[in-house]
Amino acid sequence: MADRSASITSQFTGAGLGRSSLIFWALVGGLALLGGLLGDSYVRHIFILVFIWCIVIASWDLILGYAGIFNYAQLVFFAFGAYGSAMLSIYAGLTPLLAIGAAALVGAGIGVLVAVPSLRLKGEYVALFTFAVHLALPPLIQQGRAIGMGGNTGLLGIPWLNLFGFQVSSIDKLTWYWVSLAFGAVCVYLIYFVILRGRMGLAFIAMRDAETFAQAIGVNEYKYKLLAFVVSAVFTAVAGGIYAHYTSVVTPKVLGTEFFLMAMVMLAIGGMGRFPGAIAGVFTVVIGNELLRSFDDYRLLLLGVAVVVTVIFFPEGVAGAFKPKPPEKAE
Amino acid sequence: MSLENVTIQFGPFRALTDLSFQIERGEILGVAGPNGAGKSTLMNVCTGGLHASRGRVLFNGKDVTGFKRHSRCGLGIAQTFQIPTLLSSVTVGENLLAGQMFGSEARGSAPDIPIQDILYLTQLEDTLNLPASQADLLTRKRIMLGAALATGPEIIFMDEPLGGLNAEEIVEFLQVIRHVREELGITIVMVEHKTRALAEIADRILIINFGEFVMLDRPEVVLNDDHVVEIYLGKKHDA
Ligand SMILES: Nc1ncnc2c1ncn2[C@@H]1O[C@H](COP(=O)(O)OP(=O)(O)OP(=O)(O)O)[C@@H](O)[C@H]1O
Ligand SMILES: [Mg+2]
Repeated sequence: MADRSASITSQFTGAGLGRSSLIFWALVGGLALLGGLLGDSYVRHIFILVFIWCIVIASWDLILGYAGIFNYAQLVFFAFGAYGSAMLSIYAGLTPLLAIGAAALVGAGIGVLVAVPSLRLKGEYVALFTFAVHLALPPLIQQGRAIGMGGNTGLLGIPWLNLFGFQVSSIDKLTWYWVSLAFGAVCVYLIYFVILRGRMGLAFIAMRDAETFAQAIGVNEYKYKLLAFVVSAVFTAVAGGIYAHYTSVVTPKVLGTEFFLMAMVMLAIGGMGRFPGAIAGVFTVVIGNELLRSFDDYRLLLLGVAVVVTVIFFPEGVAGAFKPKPPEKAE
Repeated sequence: MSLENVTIQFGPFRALTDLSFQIERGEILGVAGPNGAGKSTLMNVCTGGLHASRGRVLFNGKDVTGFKRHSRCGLGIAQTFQIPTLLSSVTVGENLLAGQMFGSEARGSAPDIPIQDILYLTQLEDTLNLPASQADLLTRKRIMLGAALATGPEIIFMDEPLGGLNAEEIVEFLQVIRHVREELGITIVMVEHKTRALAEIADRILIINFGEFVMLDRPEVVLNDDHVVEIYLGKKHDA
């Protein structure tokens, strides 16, 4: 018998990470240049939204697509990040960057709060519970008027981002383009290249593919599912914080149907659990949505049709359509 | 490992009744009995998939009755399943890697079985980069066993490892199982319907019926026992 204790090379042990990181950052560099070339500030605004959405959808993909947990409270994490960061900077006077960091902690706490009951539930009941949390939040925000959450009209006058003494106003789209690209790129990189290509990623995939088998080979289901919620919530809350300081307004609308539908459509169109599917979904849907703006009333309908078409013809998302077909199984 | 008066209750239904026996270190113990006898239930009560309603499960003198699957994995208890399940969206190698990674995590130290030995025993060296979803049945069984071995177990519970294999593959896979015991010294408990194969490989055979202990002895004794023969011929059992 061989006595070498060689190990298995895999993307989960860092194989190929250098090369794919290089490609990733080259693309990010390309996008950074593009920001300077785009003259139109409205187009920049659209890209800023794309970059913020990328964080939300990558986080959702982590828990739903990779860990296979039917979590539908993603925008709850976003809302807590946005409100948390806004309130900390308005009332506690935290500088926005610090407030966004604090929002990440708020996100972690909310992640745990949503996770603990969810972990006692099976599959589809997790979906029901988490969606119920989503539905229950807007009325709670109404009540939160008493503690300065602004009720229906939301919070106005959220301080501008302060980058090392330099105030970034919402109309300074070029700086915001780069700031949101930097945040988006770092978060997406951490999610897909660090977390999901490490031990945690393999645990998530194991639980999703074969739950009992995963437990039998030592995966601590409770620990990794809890981690999935917390990690997903932390990144999403950061996205919420950035969004709040960019728009300088947060209203309960962030939990509205349109936002929720958009997020669902991004994941459905892009395909879950297979990088870069979900990210491609974000670009497709946000940009598509803008191109369809002239159709106004029919926009949501067209989005719906897009989902139906992808679900029927590309059940694994657009990314799945490019996957090589597996050869016929030998009997 | 030993079971002491283990009972498993599913609502009003008793899948295992007051079962007590001991598994010797280093043996191959066969488990047989008709469909629905409670064999898979027995495997699960040993590995932590199910918790005894009454009675105790001891491993190396430690009461593990309340331990979950992953904690028992950390103690050196592994399992393969009746229906071959594996991590279908990663490669064959990554299935083994997962066993190694999470097995070490559960036990808190690196496994003592070198991955090279596992590859040699399961003959998976050449398929490491194959997507696990494309593996044929025998390969799936090799992967499941390989991942279980990668956790560094002392004992493996295998539920119908030969199910669905043809005569040739059975010979091949029995050889693999034998090697696991001989080369690695791992205790094996295997459920099997194919009594001839079981007699060939097992040191002892445990027969259960309707969740109750029937007998536990050497294969030649068990398979020549009138009562056992009666159970297998499907006569009405009224004990
Ligand atoms: N989770 C459960 N809830 C209720 N009843 C169960 C459950 N699991 C198993 N049973 C019942 O317990 C009995 C024993 O099942 P088990 O799967 O252990 O049988 P088995 O001996 O492995 O059978 P087979 O040879 O078909 O694999 C069966 O009657 C089964 O219907
Ligand atoms: Mg069974």
